[in-house]
Amino acid sequence: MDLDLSCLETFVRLADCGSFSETAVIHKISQPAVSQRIAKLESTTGLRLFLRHQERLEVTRDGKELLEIARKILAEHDGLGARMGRHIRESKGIVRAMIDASFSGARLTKNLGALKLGSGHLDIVRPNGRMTWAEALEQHDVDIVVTGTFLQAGNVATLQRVELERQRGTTIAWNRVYFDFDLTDFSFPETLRSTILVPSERLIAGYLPFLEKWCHDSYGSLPPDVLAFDDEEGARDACVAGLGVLIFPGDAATRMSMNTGELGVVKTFEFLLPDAFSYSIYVRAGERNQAVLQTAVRIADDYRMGRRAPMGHKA
Amino acid sequence: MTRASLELRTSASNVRRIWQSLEEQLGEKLFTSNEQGETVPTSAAKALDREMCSLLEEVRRFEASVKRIHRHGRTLRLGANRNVFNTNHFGRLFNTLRHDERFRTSFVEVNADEGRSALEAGECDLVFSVDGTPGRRFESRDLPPLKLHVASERSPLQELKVDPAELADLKWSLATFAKTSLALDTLKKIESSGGGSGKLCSQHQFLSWAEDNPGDGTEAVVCIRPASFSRLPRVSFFPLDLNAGYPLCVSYLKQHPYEFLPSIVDQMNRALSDPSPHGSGPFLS
Repeated sequence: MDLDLSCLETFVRLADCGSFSETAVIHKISQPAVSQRIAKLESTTGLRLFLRHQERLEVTRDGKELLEIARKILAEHDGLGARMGRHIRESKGIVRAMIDASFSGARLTKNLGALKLGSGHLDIVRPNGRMTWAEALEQHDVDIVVTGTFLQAGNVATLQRVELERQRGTTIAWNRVYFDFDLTDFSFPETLRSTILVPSERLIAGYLPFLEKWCHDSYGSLPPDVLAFDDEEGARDACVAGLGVLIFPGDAATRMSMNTGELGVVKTFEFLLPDAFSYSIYVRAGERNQAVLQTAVRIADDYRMGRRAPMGHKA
Repeated sequence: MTRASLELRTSASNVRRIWQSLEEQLGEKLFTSNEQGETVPTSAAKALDREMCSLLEEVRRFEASVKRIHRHGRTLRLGANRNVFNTNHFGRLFNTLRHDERFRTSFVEVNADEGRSALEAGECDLVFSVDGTPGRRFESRDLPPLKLHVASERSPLQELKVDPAELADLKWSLATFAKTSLALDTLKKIESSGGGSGKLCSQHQFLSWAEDNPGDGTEAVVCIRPASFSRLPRVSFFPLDLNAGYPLCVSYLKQHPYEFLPSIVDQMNRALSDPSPHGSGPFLS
């Protein structure tokens, strides 16, 4: 049997979304090409995989059985690619680090960009939409992750963490032209009556789910809109522009170089959320690759040096 | 390389193509040559060999599932309208297919004008009809035609076969079964063979006449003999001794995943042409 991976991929995608046109868009191929791939897989297996009703597609019984295995094949294929990538990095002495898009992360990326590691070098990537940073690390897509997390996020047995920083509470910041919150008699629920600007799971894992649950449990309602940001700079700029109320964990004002004269800033829930935000380096538990471990130490050193001489606040 | 191509039953250039595309994907050499000119796997090749196990295992599971489904028999859905289904002719070919271990058969009722969409949707794999299913996506093939019988209450007629001339003295009709134009041609053919003059009636009219005489004076109906009635018919059936009948056509998608469809059409053709009353299989008595 001559199985074609691209056909299997199209099969899984089509079964999931149920539309030839949508599948074509996702795969960036034409609609007839989607039909052709399905026809090819049907003829390779000698089985009907779909019933094509006028208004919908239905996976046949045989199709359903094969669909689950096809999913596993694709997952194994992805895994194989990641493991081979790691093997090749290792043999060439290359270390791949995923560094988040926070201000600290940007500074680290800038300082470490040209880092030489023996015969190899450090390869820096940003978190992407394909998988969470923890998955990227577990599946050997990257060797090191530097990111902020909130509460329990990132506490996984398969990962090992070196904490760079811990901060308590939550910072709330807003543009005073659009929001005239009372600084002396600040009411948190009032901020939830407008759009809030928060870190996404890719920036600070665990924060948004926590905040939504908290709003729901304590105040019985969610803000009308939640804008989640993958990068701190974008969130700060949106806050300065008055798009919403920024709610970030820890000492966000300092961390994100905010001009406190221009914005209204309040630090709150310090006792409710002690040490809730952390900025850490993660590697796989039991990592033995010396190049990876040495790079992690190097990143930690660089971070601590940067903290002693922080970047100047923008006026 | 020569050995690999022999083992994989493919050309050396194909092996080289796959090898190069793998190296391209990995961004790493998989084989190098030593001083003796032998091909030696790199550490990347060894790692790939090791890491590929779980992927290959899933691929084998996929192939095993396909094989198992094939072994248990693939589903073959036969579509036809009620009239075609209710004939001995269809019963015979249904039985022929039912005994084939390559598939499990089921019947789907498909009205005359729905054949096309049923095939395209995959609701059935084969459609049997008198008119055929036109369309460039379909393959249509003729099967032995449905033969005409004479239903009559004057039982039994003298001869085992009814000569068209015997109809001349009777008040008779021809049951249309499918398209009217086709029935008209057949009607003319019977009349020109000395059958006197008859008229057309619908299959429904014929069935109710055969079950309980509505008293319109009809004495015989030329028809395709139904395999079953909802009530016991009052009439007897005799083959019409005339080289005429309704054609039977089977259609399927040209691009159908079942590779065996053309061959089972041949099989049905043989079974229907077999003079044995029991259809396929050895002719015993």
